[in-house]
Amino acid sequence: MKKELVLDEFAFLVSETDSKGIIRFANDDFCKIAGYNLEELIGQPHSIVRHNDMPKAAFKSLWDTVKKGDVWTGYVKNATKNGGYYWVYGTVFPFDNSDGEQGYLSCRRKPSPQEIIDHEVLYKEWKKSE
Amino acid sequence: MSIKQKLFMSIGGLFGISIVLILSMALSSTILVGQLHDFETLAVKIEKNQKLIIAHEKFMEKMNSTLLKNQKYRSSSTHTTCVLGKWLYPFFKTDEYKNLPSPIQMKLQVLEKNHKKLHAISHKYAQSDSVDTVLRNDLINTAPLLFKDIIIGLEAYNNLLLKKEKQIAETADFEVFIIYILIAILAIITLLIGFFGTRTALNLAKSIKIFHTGLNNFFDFINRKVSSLQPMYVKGDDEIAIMSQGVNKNIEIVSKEIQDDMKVMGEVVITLDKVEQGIYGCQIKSHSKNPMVETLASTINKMLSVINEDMSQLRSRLEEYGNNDFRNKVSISPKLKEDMLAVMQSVNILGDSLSTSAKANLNNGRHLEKSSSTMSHSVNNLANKANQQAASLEETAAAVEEITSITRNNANNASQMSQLGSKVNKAVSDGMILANQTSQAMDSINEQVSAINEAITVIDQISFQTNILSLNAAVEAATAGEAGKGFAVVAQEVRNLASRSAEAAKEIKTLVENAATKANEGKKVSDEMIQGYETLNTNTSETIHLIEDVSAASKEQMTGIEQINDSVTMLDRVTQENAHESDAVAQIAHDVSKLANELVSDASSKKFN
Repeated sequence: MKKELVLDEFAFLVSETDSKGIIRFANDDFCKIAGYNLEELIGQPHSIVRHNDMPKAAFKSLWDTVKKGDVWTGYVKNATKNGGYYWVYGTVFPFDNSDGEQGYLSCRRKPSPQEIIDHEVLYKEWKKSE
Repeated sequence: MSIKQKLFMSIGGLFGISIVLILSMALSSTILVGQLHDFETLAVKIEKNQKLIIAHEKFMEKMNSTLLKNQKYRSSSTHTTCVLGKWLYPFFKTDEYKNLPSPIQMKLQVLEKNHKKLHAISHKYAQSDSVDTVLRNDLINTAPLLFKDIIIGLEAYNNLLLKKEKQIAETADFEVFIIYILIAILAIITLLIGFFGTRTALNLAKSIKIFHTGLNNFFDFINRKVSSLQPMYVKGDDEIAIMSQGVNKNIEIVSKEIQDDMKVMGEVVITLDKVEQGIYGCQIKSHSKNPMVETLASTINKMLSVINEDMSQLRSRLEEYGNNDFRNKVSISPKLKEDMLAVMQSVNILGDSLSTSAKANLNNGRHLEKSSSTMSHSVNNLANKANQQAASLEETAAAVEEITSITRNNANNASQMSQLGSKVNKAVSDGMILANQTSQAMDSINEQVSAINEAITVIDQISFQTNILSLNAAVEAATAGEAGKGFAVVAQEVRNLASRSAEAAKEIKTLVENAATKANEGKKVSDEMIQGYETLNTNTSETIHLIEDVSAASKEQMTGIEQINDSVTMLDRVTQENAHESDAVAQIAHDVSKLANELVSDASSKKFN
């Protein structure tokens, strides 16, 4: 059983991607929890932390939403570098980065234990019907 | 429908309808009670009538039997005081009687008439002392008829009462039926209202529960216990539904604001992480409605633009310094304090130092270049010279030999010169004396020339006066006219002579001046000669002295030359070493020159004020 990493109450994972989801920057919390250092993350697609349990529909909804210029929110199970996983409640904003390029800003916080349980079940169902 | 309306509908409705129904029932009951009273009254009357009827029937039977037995009877009552009369006459005065239907009234009138008649007959019969057979027969014959009419009247009235009683009984039945209906309606309505009221109450409780859960979720969301929130759905249009819509609206607003804040905070975190890593060219672009968050973001942005500005200035300056351009300085904002101020000031000081240093380097380099060029040149010369020196030294050695012999000759010559010097000394003294004499002679000539000059002055004055006299004589001769003609000729001749003598005197003066000049020149020459002799004298003395020195020196020279010989040998060796050294030095000088060139070229490439 792969180990779950539970975020602490104050965890605030932030990352910045370009319009194709390539990581341009990530904050310390994100690096620390995902188990990468910043240099390893920059230039990589954000799917580097994607977990296999996540249904495709979740990411489709994410991309459909943010490409329209709307804010996407949702529960995401992410994979760490050493094979563990952690749950986040993510909010993805379309935004213009400091170089004036179109990109996305992703902010993640700790979801409640009940929310994790609910979505673990829900995503399993989605995954089955894929 | 609002809760108030719902409650009003259920409780108020129930209450209202109950009141209406109770009032209706009360009214119905009152009517019923009234009717029962009427019914009782009628029953009493009917009973009384029945009694009257029965009483009269009994009375008639009694009277009949009395009469038939041919007995007398006593009767104390009259038609008004008897039982029927007591009832009947007051009854005729009542409204009841007046409202009776006319056939009944007529029958009651007949009853009264016959009753009165019956009493009258019976009274008459009772008053008679003996049994009046006529009266008795009359009574026997008429009394039943009269009684019959009385009973008919009473029965008619009684029937009417019975009919009324029946009517009241029917009405009362209807009223009771109405009351049952009302009770049934009340029960149904109560049931309906109870059902709807309960349903309303249950719905309200459900709405309140949904609202309560929704509100708790909302607070959990605000307190970050849950991450996301669905709007609550309360059916209907009551206050709770409106409140839930209000909460939903606020959920939307708060969610949006939390999202906005999160976006700003996300950017703040990313930006400050970048700043931590030394990236200053970034700004927070999102906005929040939260004034504190917005102020934080704008403060960070302001700080970033200032720091970025300062950093890019520092970077540009340091890059320029790195590229050897020390001309520009960091412009320091008057707002800056402490560390950044110190850094910027230090960079400016560094720039100044580098500029000064570069300038000094260039100057020193140029100086060195010039010096090294000179040195190089000198060293080349030195090398050449050293080589030449070496060559020369050989010649020198040969020369030294010659010098040895020359020195010997010199010593001899010096002795001879010493002797000659003494002779010259003597000759000079003689020459000096002669020159003094010449000088004195020249002075005498000068004195004589002065005397001649005075004499010439006299001659000049004489010739001037003679000329004036000759003029006077000419004037006198002219005055004398023809007699003076000859004299005038003489006067003219005298005048000519005077002029000639003046000219002669002038020529002599010129000659004498020339002589004086020459004499002066001669004196000057003789003075110079004296001086020359004095100098010569000194010089010859010195020469003699020198010659003696030379003589002595020549001897020392001989010793010296031997030493020179040794030295030349050594010099020859040293010179050869020098030649090598100077070649080496020339190489070094070349290198130094090259370095100096490089130094200057490097220093020149640097830009400074």
